[in-house]
Amino acid sequence: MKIEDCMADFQIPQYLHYMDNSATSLIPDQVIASMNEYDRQYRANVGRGMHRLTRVATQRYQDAHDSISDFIGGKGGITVYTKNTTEAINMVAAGLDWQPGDRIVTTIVEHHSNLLPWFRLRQKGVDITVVYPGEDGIFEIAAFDEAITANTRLVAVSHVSNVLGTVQPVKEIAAICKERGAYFLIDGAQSVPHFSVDAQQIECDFLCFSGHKMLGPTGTGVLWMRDTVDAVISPLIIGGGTVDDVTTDGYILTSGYQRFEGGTPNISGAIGLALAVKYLENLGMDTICRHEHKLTERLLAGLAEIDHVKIHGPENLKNRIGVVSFTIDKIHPHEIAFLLDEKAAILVRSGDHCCIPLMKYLGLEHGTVRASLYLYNTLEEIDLLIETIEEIARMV
Amino acid sequence: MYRTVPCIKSDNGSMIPSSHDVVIEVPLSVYVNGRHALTAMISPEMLEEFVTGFLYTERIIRKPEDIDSLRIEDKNAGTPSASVLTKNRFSIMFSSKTVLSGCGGDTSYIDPDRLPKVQSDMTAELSTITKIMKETLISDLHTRTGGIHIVGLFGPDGKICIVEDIGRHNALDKVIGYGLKHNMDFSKTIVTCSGRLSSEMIREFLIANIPIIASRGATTALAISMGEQAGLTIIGFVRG
Repeated sequence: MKIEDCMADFQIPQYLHYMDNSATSLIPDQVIASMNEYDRQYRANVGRGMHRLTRVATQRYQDAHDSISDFIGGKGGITVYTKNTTEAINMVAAGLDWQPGDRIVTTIVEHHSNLLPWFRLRQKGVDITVVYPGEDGIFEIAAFDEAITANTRLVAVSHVSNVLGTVQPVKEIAAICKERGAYFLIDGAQSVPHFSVDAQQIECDFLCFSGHKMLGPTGTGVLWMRDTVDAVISPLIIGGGTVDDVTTDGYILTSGYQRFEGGTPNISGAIGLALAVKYLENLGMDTICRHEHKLTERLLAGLAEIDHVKIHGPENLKNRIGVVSFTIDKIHPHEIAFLLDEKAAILVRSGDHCCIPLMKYLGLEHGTVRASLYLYNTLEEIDLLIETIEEIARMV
Repeated sequence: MYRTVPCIKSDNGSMIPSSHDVVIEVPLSVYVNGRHALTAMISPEMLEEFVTGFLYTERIIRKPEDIDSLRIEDKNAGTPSASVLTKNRFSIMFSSKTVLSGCGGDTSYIDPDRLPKVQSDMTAELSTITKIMKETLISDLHTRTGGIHIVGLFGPDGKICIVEDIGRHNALDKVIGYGLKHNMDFSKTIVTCSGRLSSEMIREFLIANIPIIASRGATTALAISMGEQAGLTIIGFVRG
């Protein structure tokens, strides 16, 4: 399948210019159909019972885990379905046995979902160290080398910033973590949907991401855990489906993903996300990445030419993806986003992007406007965005 | 494929504590689209190939791509199960194998008119048949245990695969499954078999369009009559 052929699978881009993909992506008809098929043809609970529908649903659900695992090079670990990235990160934060004096290293560019769960651990005596980037939001590896000490228990870093679009050096950070005996958690919410991410190759311990940002349904996310670490994580939720045996005196938790997925899961969502992954694989992650680079290059070049517009983040394609934040002098980001919708039906995000500490660090009181691109965006849409921003900037 | 068990051997009237290698047999339950399709007593290897071959020769699938999902699980060690989802999960609902021979199946009638004719112009020299039969029967497992059947699949370039199993039907299903998974053109193949050729096996050859079958053993009258009608070459008692 060619990337231009995918347009027919999405309805919204036929009427609107959707560029808020870092918040949530659109969903192709095939993914919707796969979920409808479950509800219409073989709806049943999973991992329970002997009848034919529960067998079919269970197999589909197991296959869905395998598809996701294959997609992220996750063979050497457990792939657990969650509601979203936020839940996945919280599962790790709540699941490790923290001791006073343990240290967590994270960064100022993190989404609140990769900060608050760690900040809350201060109540247990855990120290939090925040690493700051250099110019344009790029981190020097030396900053991590210094911050990750012998008593560092975990390092939590987003692979790609949801504000600046910067790609962080996760492989190098993983090597430092390995050397110092710290767990390494990657928030892959903005990376896994856009380029090939291989957990084994990176050598991280946890990889968290959201299904709804990668053509899947809302309410789906993934926590991948390396085989050696899943045993040290206590499940956030236990109950139906998570045990091998129960007596009135106690219980024995089961192994595998089932240990972490208490209660009836989002079955159709899991099946839909697996289909979304297949859709991305059919297109090819490299193809998607190249397409988005082309769009980003045009957008960065166009914005750089407009007076009163400032790009936040790298102005070239090195170490960045198609998440482009900008501001226009003297115009509130919300007003810009409103005008883009009103004037040209261009849908972008504005505000702090759940990154208030980063906004404070950057001195951006009202946040930024963020255009975040995906496979169904076109060069024509980018030109329209540039023209409309030019028009708005002339109002200054 | 085998394990060593203690036994008492009789030697010139003396009873001597000893040991012997015996083949391993496990029950494999196969579920198709959520329904139990069969339980096969089988050697615990090449189970994916077995299931693929079984589904094909039972005409549940027409090509390997008709399988949407195939999972082999062995939660209780030694009692594996196979679960298959086909592309159309409603169209295939069947009750049992269509024909069984020699093991008390519930159906024994064959309508040869409903079986395909062989579509092949393949021929083979007798020397080739003798050679590949010899190759087929070289089996360390058989030497050790004396408890297995062997089925081989050969193409123009020689051996494609040789499969050992406690059942010759199982071994044939595995061979056909292997051929399907490797995209073999069965019309250019010869199957060799260590055991008796029954009508049920002939049915499988015809469905797979395998044109020549050679066995070290005997052939049943019904098998010969079915083979004649369909243009299948059957060679029995291939020895030396």
